[in-house]
Amino acid sequence: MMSPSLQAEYLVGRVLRASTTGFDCGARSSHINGSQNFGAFVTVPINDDGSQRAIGLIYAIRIDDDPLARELVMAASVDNSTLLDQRENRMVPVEICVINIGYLSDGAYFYNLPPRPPMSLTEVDLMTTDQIRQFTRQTDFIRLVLNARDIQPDELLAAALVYASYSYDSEPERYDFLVNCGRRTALLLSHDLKRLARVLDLIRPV
Amino acid sequence: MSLEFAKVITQVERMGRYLSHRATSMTDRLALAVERLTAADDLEAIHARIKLVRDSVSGYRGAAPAPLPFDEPINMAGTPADVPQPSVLIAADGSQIYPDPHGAALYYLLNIGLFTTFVGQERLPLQATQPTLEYVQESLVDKDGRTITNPTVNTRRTIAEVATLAAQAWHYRTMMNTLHEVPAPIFALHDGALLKFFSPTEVADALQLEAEYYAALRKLHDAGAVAAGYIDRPRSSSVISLLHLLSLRDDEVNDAAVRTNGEIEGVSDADLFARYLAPGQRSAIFTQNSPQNRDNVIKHGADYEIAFFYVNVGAFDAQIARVEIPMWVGKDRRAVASLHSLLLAQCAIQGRRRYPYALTRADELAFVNPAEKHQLDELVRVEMMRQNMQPERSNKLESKGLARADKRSHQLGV
Repeated sequence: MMSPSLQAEYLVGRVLRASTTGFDCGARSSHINGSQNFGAFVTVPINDDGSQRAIGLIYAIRIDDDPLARELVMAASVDNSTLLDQRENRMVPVEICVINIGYLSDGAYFYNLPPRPPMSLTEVDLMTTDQIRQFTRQTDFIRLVLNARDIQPDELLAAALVYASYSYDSEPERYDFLVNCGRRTALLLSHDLKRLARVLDLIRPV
Repeated sequence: MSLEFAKVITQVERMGRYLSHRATSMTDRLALAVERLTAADDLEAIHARIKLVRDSVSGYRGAAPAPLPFDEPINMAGTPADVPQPSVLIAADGSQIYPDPHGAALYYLLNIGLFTTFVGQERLPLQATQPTLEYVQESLVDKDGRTITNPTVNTRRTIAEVATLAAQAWHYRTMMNTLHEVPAPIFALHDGALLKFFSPTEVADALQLEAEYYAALRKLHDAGAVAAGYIDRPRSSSVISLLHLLSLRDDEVNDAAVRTNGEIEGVSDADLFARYLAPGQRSAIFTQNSPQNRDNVIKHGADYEIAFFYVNVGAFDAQIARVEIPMWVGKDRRAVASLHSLLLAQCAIQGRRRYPYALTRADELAFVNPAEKHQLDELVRVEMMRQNMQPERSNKLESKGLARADKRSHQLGV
């Protein structure tokens, strides 16, 4: 079981609204750190005992403005006290948008949409490196990402694959992983060579 | 039936032409007012004229220079000093839900928002709210058994704001003393005038509320706080009245002559100082020659006479605010200078809409929006049902709800 401090480190936010294709979660702007990255793998329970969890990718991070914030940015400078007040007291909410790419059920991973959405205010966590390695052992999730609507699927896929590759410790392992994902992508985009070339460019190991 | 704009539009056009004409005729009067202010540099003569009008005329309600020896040349334009650091700025504002005789139960709510910022320190500003629900019969009716009016609720809210400011100032002063800290200046900022009139005909328990108000001011004084009331877009013309008074000969000073402002009638103090003060500058300190102020001095002492100054908080264009201060602040040059610079710094935070940030936040904390009011009404109804009562709204209110509700479309035969 994770210690509370580690739990906090992995916490992305809490569910605001959800469907089977994805969900939005919210966090305080003061809690934004390196966890909430574009392309990061996240997981959220979809039943009471946590034996089923949806798996998703962060595809958008939004911070809404408000009239007061707009006036503050017009000032010559923003002092530290005001910044602190805006971030810690006014609790500007950050919305993190996630697309579902699979789910975990009783220890097994499935690469289609989860059977139900998570409930409101459920905690959303980052997947650990072990979990990412296990999930991405099969590359079927790439299909769901490439077919997603209303997001930037190619950029998201590239970000997610690069993100996942860093769950492997060694350079050769990362290389093999990216090559494997590239082959799968080539199969799925064999009808659209231009798009395939763009995606492969984005994930090409340096 | 909704507002028929076709019937209003021509009236709006006439209003626009009227305002434009008025603005044009003000130009010459304003120029004259500025000329008179510039020329008013004989402070001794000004004091003599004020003494004359106080001795002979009962109706003069204009400004006077601050009392000796704390007076300043009335045509001065003071530049700001450095922002006092460290210091504590406390701002309070309030909001209310008025009693609704048509609701399920009679009550009113006061919500005070308090915002404390630690100037010159890397400390998170503190925010707090204090909602108070009043439902006991005695607090809802006046001495004649009638439901209290909105002005009464407003006055009680104002008292609560100032009392909260005083309590918070006292708390910080006590803390500094207890911890043997170097005493930092404490600024207590109220939204609105400090010189208040508690009308017995409009406000229930006016005398009691007045006593509570001055008790709060005393607490602020005892805490050593620099208390101030901030008035955005002031409409007063008391300095204009002073300039008009100064233009009269001694034998012309009488009630009739001071009833208007003569050749500079219609010009406001804000108009005058918008022309006179450069961005960041403040006017001299004045006092208001009014029966309330005179009573303050008699009942509470000279320190409780309410004075004021104007400040141009704009960066490029003129934005004039009026700042009211008790004379315990007014006679302390350093306190006034600190207050002046602190207000400018606070107003600068908000870019274009120059208003003290601390007051903006206090207002935001205090504000009760219509959805929250509705939720509170529902809470009250649920609690009444828990207590085996049948909450019912009046037929009038229910009918208004029916007529004002969003309309839905219905289809037949689909």
